[in-house]
Amino acid sequence: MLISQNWLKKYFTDDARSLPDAKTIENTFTMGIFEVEGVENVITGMENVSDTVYDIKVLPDRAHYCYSHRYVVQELGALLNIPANLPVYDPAKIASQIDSGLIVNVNVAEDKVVEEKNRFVCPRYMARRVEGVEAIASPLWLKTALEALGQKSINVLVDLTNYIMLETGQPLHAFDADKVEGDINVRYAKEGEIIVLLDGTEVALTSHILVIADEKDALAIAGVKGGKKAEVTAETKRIIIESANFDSVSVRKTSQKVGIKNESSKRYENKVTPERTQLAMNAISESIATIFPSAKFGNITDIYLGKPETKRFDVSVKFINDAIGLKEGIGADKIIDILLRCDIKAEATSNDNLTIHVPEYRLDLEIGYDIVDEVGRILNYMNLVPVPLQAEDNRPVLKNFYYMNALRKVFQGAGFSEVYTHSLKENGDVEILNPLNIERGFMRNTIGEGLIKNLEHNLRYVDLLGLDAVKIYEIGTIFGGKVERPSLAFGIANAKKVKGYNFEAEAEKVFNQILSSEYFVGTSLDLNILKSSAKFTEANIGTGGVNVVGNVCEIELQKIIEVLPDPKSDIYFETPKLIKYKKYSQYPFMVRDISVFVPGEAIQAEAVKSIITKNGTELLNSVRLFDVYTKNKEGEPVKTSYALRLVFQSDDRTLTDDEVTQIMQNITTEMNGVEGWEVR
Amino acid sequence: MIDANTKAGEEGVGGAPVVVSAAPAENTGGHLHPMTQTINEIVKIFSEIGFQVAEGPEIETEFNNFDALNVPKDHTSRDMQDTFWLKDAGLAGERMLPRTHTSPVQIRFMQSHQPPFRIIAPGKVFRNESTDATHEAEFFQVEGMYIDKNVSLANLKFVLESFVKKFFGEETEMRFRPSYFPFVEPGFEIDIRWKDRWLEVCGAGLVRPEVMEAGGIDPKDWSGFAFGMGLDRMVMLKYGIDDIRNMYSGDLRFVNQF
Repeated sequence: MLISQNWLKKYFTDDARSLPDAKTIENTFTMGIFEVEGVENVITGMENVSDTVYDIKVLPDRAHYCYSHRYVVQELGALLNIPANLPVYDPAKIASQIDSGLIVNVNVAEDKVVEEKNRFVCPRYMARRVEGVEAIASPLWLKTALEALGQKSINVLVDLTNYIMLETGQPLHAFDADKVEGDINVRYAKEGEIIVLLDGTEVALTSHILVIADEKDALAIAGVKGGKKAEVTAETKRIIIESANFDSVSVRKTSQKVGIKNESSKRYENKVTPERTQLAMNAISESIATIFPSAKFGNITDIYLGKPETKRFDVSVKFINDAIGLKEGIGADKIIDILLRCDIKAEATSNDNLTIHVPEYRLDLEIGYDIVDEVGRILNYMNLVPVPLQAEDNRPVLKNFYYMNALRKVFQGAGFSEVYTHSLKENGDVEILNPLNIERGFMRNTIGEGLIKNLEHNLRYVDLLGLDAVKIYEIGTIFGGKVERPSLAFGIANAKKVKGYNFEAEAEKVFNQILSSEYFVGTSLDLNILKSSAKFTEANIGTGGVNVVGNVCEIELQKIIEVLPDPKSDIYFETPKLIKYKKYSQYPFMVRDISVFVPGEAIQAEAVKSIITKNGTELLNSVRLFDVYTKNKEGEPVKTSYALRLVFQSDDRTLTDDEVTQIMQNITTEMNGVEGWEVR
Repeated sequence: MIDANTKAGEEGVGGAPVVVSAAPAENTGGHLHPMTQTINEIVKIFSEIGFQVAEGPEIETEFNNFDALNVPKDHTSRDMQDTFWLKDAGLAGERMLPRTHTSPVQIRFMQSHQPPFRIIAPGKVFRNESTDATHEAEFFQVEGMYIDKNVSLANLKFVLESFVKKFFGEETEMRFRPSYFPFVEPGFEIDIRWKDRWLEVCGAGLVRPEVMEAGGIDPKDWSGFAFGMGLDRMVMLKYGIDDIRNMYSGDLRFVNQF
């Protein structure tokens, strides 16, 4: 909601305690009630007048009253402890302009919102006929006020309805009285009934949509949008002002159905008290009377079906102090003072008890904790002294969490990388009613099968990663039937075919690593349990005719954890070093191998590498020594061969063969330049 | 939303080549996913002040996910455009869903335990959101709850302040800003100062009596606080990760940096 500083100023008229600067106001909003999402300086249509506009994020619990300058001012005044002079609209001020012959007949459907007894679809409908007005251009002050908040000025009559809405939070509507045929009827639309809206669009209505109609046609979609038929135009001389209340859910559903969201529907959706229609009707009447001193006003027709009961409840001084946790407690007097700043009347009814009289516009105040919030934020939470918790020695350890971490320790030690993959998958037993897309329409019933794809994907990057094999695992939840359960899957894909490789034997090695680890040794867990809870999957993941296999083993974790003893204390990993993640390049990488003979035993690896890194440029991504052997032949000097794999990649482009070849040439030249070195 | 935060020239970062000096035989060290590392770091911090780990199912009833947490029947968070729903109803005919937050763990723990207790519950949650660099349909949260006699906002402030200092660093500036969640009152958002900006990292507040009653605990005898944090954002802030999709890609170019 946009709030204008100039508008705020109108209410803070006490010279001695005027409003602080914009920065302080912003901070007061943020720390006391609503986050400020933006502050903008606005040049207005008035000469030498600028404005500051705050974009405040009104929270759902206060939206029913704070979509208004009036109540935002009330809150700001309470927080700053500067009294605000909110305008009082006394109907007596226009008494001389009343003409009781001007009548609006209103009939309101007495429907209630389904299932709820005291919620009428239209709890209150107020209307008043006004004559002797003209839809002239708005005075500059009004135009300026609206434009500062991004509203377009239309004519003075329409502008005033908008202005009073922005002030009071109560949406208003003006109909051209001469275009209204007969009574005003608040009723459900007929199926297929057509309304032409103010902007000219035609909307076909359904029987669930509430409309304001005359005897023939729908004049407006209740709480959402006015229609063309009774539009206020340049010819308008007589109007009917509507200040009504509509049920929040009914307006929300209508607004969704017709696809219109606006300032009016937003306020109704957040519930406005039906009590406020009176304030807004009085306010607009007074404003019209000021601009049109000869205007005549009919009496207000007021159909009030759903008058809310006045609310009061009790809360104790001790409860408020305890809940905030004030080191030095505050007494009833201080609380009463604070609440008064918030326009809430509190009465000390006994030693420790306060009776709270809830103002009619505060629908959110219902329980003691609501009062805690009012008192707490006025005291300012930034000043609250933190209080430590009592020591707690009894801290049970969650078995699942403990053993999952124990397994992570083992897999980490066995050289596996942990991955997290999606639970929403293409297949499964548990189907999503409204999936994002068909690839994610089910809750997974296996982790392992999904890991095959990850093996395949990562195999492309083994050189970049400096790996001979991709070894990954995931611990997560799988969903079968109506039961969900924890699962662990691990998979291996070798970059090159390994002679005599057998995945089940590899898995057994992993099992033995589990069993011999400190977390499992000496427990009832054994190889048989592990084997019997394991399921193996194999898939060909080779590309381009290469025969590469990915293997996965998935373990039913519940079967393992149930045989294990209750752990005594949690397992922790070392606090990670502050690593900064480096975004990996999206461009292809190039691999080059180089091997060089160096005189002497195998102690020169670092010297070899340093020549490579020196010449490698910023394109050199990694260097890996993959083979070393020493030639020690009778009669020949001892020499050692070092074979290295170099990976080149750029962060911002695809490398050319030529530039990498040039780098390799530079490396070769420098190596061959060293006495006795020989690039093979 | 998240700064890439990579600076050339830092150790192992940016322009300088990362030289992997180990021969294959030595290269047996595995890698822990940064989410695991973060969850464990958070659990450790809270365990030091007596919080025990709790868990709950990822598929929940509508009651535990919404009703028990005082979310209004007609609240938009229950709509199809915000929440995934399962096609099939639960055993008692109730609507089922992949949980939209870890808060149902509060309800389950209250129903099965006598206070006082302190819990910390990390887990996966689901929202009907299209995926981009800062949004995922599946992500992680951690829930905390403390129920005891006379639990206060001053206690809550203590717990979250000490957490922020331990997790983000002793010097981290923090603020306690009024906010709204249906299951707490008063409700707060906890912001930390991160590179000259305030960032929301945690929602918190005092547990509403309706929620305690749904958990079978008498709010006249007990009080408590609860808090929840989105873990992905914390992981991303901590390590300078700019795209949430990396977290669930299973790509070792990502995981093996940790």
